[in-house]
Amino acid sequence: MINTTITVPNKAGLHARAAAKLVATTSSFQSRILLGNGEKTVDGKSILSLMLLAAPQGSELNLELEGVDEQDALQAILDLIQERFGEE
Amino acid sequence: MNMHSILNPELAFCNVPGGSKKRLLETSAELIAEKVDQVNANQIYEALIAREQLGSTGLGNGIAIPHCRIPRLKETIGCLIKLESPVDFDAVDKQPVDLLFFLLVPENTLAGHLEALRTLAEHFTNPVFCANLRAAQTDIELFEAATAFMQDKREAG
Repeated sequence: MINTTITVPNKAGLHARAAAKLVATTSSFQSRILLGNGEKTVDGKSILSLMLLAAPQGSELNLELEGVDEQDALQAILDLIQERFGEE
Repeated sequence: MNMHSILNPELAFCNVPGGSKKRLLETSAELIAEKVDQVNANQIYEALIAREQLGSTGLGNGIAIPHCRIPRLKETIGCLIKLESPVDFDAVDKQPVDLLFFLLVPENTLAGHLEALRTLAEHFTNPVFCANLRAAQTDIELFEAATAFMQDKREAG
């Protein structure tokens, strides 16, 4: 299992389109992927669930991955964060 | 933020004819523009279509949240539509959509928009809420089903 922290990188935060991009990535892996903001933890493969976090730019989220492809999934998620979901 | 702050009774429409995704967005834009002075139907339609081109707002389980930013809008405006029959919406799970919550969002409201999305997510992740909307047969029933459903945990906390 991997447990780490990511920071929401883009100006608009984890809005619907950014959440959709994240889910497009997380869904392509078998591992269980969870994201949490300390208050609640949600399924990282559901757009609606990610919208529950209402995470603005700069907020820190706990990322938990567990499964055979957890390392690859982590890298793919970090790449997406690095690209700021293709946004500002 | 609660449902009452983004939805008023004039903007809940039950058993709207579906057709195609494009036709549905046109119909919805007209329904919204009739009740909202600040925007016209074409402006809403163009903005919604532009957003859909960036990726479908069909989020799965028959639910879509088409939304767009509208310059000079005073506040976020929501519109709830239940379709007569489901429509192909290019949704993430490939399933047709029958419940739509439209959001027209003012420019430069980042935190407010995230809060509105959270409110919708809190409701639409609940199967009972979705079942209640689907059971509604009139506009007023649809509005009441949408607004009667309180998020106990958040309201209490």
